[in-house]
Amino acid sequence: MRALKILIVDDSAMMRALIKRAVKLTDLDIGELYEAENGRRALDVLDTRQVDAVLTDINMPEMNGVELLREIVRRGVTDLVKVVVSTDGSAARRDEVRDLGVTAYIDKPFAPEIIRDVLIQCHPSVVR
Amino acid sequence: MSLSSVIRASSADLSGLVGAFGAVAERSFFAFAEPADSVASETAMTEWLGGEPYVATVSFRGPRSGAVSIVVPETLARELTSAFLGLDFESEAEVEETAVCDLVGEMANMATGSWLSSLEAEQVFELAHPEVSRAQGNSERGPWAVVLVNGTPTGLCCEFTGGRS
Repeated sequence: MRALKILIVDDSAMMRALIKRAVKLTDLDIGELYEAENGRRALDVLDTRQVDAVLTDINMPEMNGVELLREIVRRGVTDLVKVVVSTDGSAARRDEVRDLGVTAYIDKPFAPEIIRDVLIQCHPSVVR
Repeated sequence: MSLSSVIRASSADLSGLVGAFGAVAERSFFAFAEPADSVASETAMTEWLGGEPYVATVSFRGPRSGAVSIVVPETLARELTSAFLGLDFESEAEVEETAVCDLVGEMANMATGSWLSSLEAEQVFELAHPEVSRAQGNSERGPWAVVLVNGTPTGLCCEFTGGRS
């Protein structure tokens, strides 16, 4: 199994740094970490890079996380793990993104070890 | 005459917001948070009104609409940003203003979203992008709840607009 390539999508540079730090703190087999500040930029990355998992916020300007997930589904991308990392933990929002193939939903604020648990849950072979 | 009216948050609402903000400060920004007593709160208001703290406001729409604001004194905002970025706060290294604003805005965003989710778990709220500015304290807003973050008074306020939809 090659190292897991992850795309982090959040309009806050601080939050991207926090998620990145949490990912690096894991002892998992992690490859490239890509960043995007909204859904539109995330699609640009997905067009040009091979990505195994996307961790996306919901509330972002230009193209939000739900719109990004809808576009990924519309394009028929199936080999991508989709995880939401958001402050919006409402049941209605969870139901909405579950229908878009999201496999895990992480509430902000989160404990760093949650990132590790979710990555293992979504990609068991990532354990070294 | 304006058709919308401002409704100040109840003490129960503020208490929930304080809890959400404390969790954000501790889990995401590695700070220690505790509610302030009335003396500390009064002192904080005086300092904010005389200073130029960072003020971050997040507007929200949903079954209830309104806005949450947080007031973070400059020294604390820079200290938290330095710690977050792994810099030595005592050193001469200057923390970029955009990084400080981003951090304060994200604190407000996370506290607001987390609080609203606990308030109305079955409902969806739309949150606006955080607006961050350097402003003198506004004594007309409030009531303010005060939380000590690493011992420094930090303010929280919520106002609802109109009634429930």
